[in-house]
Amino acid sequence: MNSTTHTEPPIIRFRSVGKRYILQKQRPFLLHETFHRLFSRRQRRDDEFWAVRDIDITIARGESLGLVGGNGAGKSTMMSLTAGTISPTLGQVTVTGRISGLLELGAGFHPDLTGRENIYLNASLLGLCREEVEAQYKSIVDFSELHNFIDVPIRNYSSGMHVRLGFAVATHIDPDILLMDEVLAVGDQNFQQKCITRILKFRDDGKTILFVSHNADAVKRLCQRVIWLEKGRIKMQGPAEEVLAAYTSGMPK
Amino acid sequence: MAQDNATVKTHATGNMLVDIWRYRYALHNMILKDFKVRYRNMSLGIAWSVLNPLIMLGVLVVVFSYIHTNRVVENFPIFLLLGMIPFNFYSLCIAPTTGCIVENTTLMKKIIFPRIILPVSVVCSQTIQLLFQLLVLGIFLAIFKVPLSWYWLWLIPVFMIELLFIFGMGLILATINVYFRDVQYLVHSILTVMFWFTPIFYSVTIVKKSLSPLLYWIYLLNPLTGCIDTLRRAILDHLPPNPETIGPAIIMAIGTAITGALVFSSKSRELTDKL
Repeated sequence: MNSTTHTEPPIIRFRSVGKRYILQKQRPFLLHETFHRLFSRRQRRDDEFWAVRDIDITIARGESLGLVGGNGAGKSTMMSLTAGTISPTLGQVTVTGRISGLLELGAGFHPDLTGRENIYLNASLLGLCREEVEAQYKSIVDFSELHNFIDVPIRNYSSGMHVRLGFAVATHIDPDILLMDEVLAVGDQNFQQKCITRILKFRDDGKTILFVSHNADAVKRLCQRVIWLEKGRIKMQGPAEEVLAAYTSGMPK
Repeated sequence: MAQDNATVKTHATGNMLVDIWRYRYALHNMILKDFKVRYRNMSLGIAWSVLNPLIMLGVLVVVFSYIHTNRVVENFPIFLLLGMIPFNFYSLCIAPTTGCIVENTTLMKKIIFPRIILPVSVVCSQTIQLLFQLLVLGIFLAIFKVPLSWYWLWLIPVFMIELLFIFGMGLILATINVYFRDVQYLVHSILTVMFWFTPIFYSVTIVKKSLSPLLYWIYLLNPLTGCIDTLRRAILDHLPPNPETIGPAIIMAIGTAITGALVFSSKSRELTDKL
């Protein structure tokens, strides 16, 4: 719209974002304790835990960003903040564009429903209308290669089949931003390869990708830029090669 | 602590009605899921939807027609059904709505969608069950030869009022339940208490006679009272609603619905943190 701006505004922006969790050692099991807390001036101290802190990043449209770091580094919190399932305690997260609203493949699949029914339910919860789901249905099944099992309840699926269906649904809702949290952990070599190909296609189509994985090779193949998180803060960020080299060098062989 | 997060964009617009409309297909699938999950692996399947109310209401009719007959109230079995059905509807909606956020933790944490879909889908699928109950009621009305009348159409606004009340209470309870899981259990006790403070086995006229005016007014604050009274007047007596009973019911129902919507929309953002 505005011809004077040369660069497009970032599709995702974190401005000094922090997310704090209160670690309640025990839920208030009596109402009077809660009242006590509300009205007493002395706040009982619960332990605070900052899942992420002081995060300032911008992600441009079409960029693919990898997030690496150990367990509890804050990768998944970053994903949830981007998706908007949780709100930051401090700072601001701005996202402009349709996000693939799925933080975990196959989340929301109901074990008693068949593959077909789950595709419809999941895709519609992700915001697709009837026509869109019907248009995508065949392609979802083709991608998951579950033709013979599509009318079988999901509870009879293997974990690999479950993830295949989840991945197929998640990547068929045509988002601007694709969130992928440890998607390659399950599934055989063939399917992993297929997933990587599909994610690369997304990248080539100019979609934005946020990719979390412990698999450094996959991150290297898929992402131009990588952020290394440690204890909720950015330890290092930059081109994938550099950050991953530093990240993997610190790991025991 | 500064709260500066107004610009986080989710798939929810903030306007409940708009969200529900935009996610109507998801709602449709959630209701379908509810039915499929409930009746899958049962040889009688969906027939239970009719059988269940038929047995539940039928036993009342049998007991109060043959064992414990009541000559004071005409068509006492029907009189009872007109109290039981609205109350059943209420309790069948409230119990699952209260737990709907907590039970769908995975959906809440892992998928972005307007949260209002969860309670609304529960209430919608119970409303479909209500239609089966009304069908059974129709059968008994025919058996007891209760004459048809245009007044029966009052049934529609009555259930609208009750739906508003359910919607509001459901949202309030579902929200509180995230903070205090005890609510789920408390609700069952409250429903039992409410059962006896709702004119199911007796009429509003008796309540008016036995209670002091102040207590009577408090009694009327339960919207189910007005709903049941209106139903009985319309279906059994062919009379329009009594403003004295339906008035407080309408006000309470609308008030509850507004409160519920406000509570739910103001808290729905931070609910995920507490799950």
